[in-house]
Amino acid sequence: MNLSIKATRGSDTARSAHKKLAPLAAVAADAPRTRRSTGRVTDARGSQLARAGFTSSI
Amino acid sequence: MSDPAIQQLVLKIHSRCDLACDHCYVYEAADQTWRSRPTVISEETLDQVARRLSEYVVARKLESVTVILHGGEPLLVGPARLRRICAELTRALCPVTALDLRIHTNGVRLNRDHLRVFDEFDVKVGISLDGDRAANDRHRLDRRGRSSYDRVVRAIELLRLPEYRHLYQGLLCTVDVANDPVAVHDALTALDPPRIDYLLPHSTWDAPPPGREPGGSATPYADWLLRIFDRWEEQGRLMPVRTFDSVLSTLRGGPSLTEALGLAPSDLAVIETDGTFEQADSLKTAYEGAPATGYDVFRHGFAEFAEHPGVRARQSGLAGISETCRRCPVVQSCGGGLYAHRYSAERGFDNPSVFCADLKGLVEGVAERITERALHPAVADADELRLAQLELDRSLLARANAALAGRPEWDAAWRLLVRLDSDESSASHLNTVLTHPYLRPALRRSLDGPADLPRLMATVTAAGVLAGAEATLSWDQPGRDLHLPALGTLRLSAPGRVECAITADGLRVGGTGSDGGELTAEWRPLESVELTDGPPLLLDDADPHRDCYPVPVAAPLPPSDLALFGKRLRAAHEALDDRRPGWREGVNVPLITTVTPLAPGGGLRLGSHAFGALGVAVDFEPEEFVRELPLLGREFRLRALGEVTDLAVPGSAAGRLLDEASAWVGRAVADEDDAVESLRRARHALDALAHRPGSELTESGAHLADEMREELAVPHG
Repeated sequence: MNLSIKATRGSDTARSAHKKLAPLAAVAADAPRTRRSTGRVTDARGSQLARAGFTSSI
Repeated sequence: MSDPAIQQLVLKIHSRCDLACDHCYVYEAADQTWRSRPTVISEETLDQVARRLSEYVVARKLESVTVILHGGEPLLVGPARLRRICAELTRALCPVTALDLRIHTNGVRLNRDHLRVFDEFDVKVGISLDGDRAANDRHRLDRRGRSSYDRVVRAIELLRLPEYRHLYQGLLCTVDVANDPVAVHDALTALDPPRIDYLLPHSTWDAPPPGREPGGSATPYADWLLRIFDRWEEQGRLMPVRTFDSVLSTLRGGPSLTEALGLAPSDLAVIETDGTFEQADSLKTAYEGAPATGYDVFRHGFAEFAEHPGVRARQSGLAGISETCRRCPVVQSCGGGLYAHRYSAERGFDNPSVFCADLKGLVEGVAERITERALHPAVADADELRLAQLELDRSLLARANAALAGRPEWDAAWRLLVRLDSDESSASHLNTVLTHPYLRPALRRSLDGPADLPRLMATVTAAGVLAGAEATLSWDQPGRDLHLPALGTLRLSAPGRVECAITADGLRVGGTGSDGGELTAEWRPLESVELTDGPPLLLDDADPHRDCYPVPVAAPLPPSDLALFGKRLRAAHEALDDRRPGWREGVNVPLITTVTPLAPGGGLRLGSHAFGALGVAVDFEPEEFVRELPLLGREFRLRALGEVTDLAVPGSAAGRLLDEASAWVGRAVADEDDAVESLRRARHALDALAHRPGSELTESGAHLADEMREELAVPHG
């Protein structure tokens, strides 16, 4: 089936942001801003390192 | 079953050791039960462990489980038996879960025979080493008093060979403050470990750690660790350091990464060589028999162990720690420290850690060091705040991409995203979807488990539709409602393999349902409300991630109810414009783009981590709207700024006082009936803030405090 979907709104930020943003393809998975916002620590592939590990092993 | 599952098993496969480290908690501490244990785990016990764990994993539907082969010294069982152990665990567990198999060893005997076994079964190897030769030899000697250093380093060199490097898990170092911390860290760094952790020497209030006066204010362990933290930063954080990463995570609201810190529930079981279940074996430090449960794998399963009072006591978060700890500002990061370190004969475990001052010093020291102190442009400019929030969503999306990369359907979606992002016109449509408030909760939830692929595919589809890009995306859609963020909901004839063909003219939806039939869809668009002044508001009563409010959201509304809700919203805005002309001006104007109907009685609410969203109860009163919306604007701004910069040192009192001052200043300037009391409280909070150490507020936080003081001076001065 075909749906003709019309945008109901636009965002001023979205329109003006492009020149100020780093290209999406260049944004690092472990960018500091995500860590500061979420606390989550991940490896370079974005996998979580979150488990309260047993202290007598690593 | 909602209680925390056991997901880490420490399996003692040999109860003796070939070293005689004088700080060892197994042989040198209060508990001496090792003397009565079998030297080596038997085949019968091993089979029973594997069977019990497999049953538990299936019953709890655990996606992964970690098994750590431990001792004593586990390599003493020899390569042949090690192989049988690994084979049996793999045979029993790999068909039912992802098995994360590890071994922790002193490394003295590690050779290629062991490594071939570990390679065959993908066993990750962690090694204990206390730093450079001088530091290591302070404690880690063999029975004849000889250094273990060269033998351990030789083992690490083997692990660093290309063929075994993938098995190298990391190095574990027990802290001795008599050692030079930088020399210790540099020596470990030189061995190129994938990760490091620093372990405080196991101690209690009755057997305090070396160099520490119980209850004293000196912080030798914090000072020692912070010198390493500084070195680690200077190196550019070459590898994860678990203790530091845990503090960094919890300071920002994330989970703890070690049982030694934080409030995460215990998910750990220990099984000794005779098959007895024990709690964390660091409890051996406390008193004879402290880790014992009375359970064993022949008579009990993991589910019974998980119900043991000693285990449950370590799963109760704040309620399970001492009163002193509950009142402490760093409790979320420290969590009362390692359970064993709280013990005293007088009060049992109802104490702070014997390392209390050090743990507080460490957390505060790290917080101080990571605080972003410069004035963030978003503090004074709403456009900068919007931009910073969009950057955050794009970073979270990049993280989701890293987790999903390699899955063909996602790779196609990512290619489309990158294509949309590369052109200014289509990028604006992409960013319109990325700024939709409920994408953030979806991305954040993906951090806590597998990324929500259907949701992300729908997000990319929405961006493609808005941009009119030519692309086809397909994925397994688990439910009938396929929600395109910011646009609306496709009601499919059935769940199934959906195919979305996007063209310049719109969207063609097809695919095969789980019932084998061809998929069809009905479209329910989101509506918006045009306001007399200001941009239109999107009415989102359908996004599956809109349930981010502290009260329940309303179910999607029938068209007539939704139209009426929209009319009432417009009328309420007009009333606000009449009663408070100028409310849209100034820095505290709420930057709302999207309104979600809440269940009756819910009032006006801000969503959690949903920038731009406002929840409004379906039965809201216009008076309530006029009163509350300007107040929420302040909270909105404070929360949004807090997501993109630091207003105060994390965990400090200044942060809480800033929130408090903002709330009362809002009430005071709103000129309500209780304005005098609000003004008094606002001034009290600002005075208290002024008396905090100047370093607790950042420039951004200080800017906000000054702004509030000026506000109070104008109408009430």
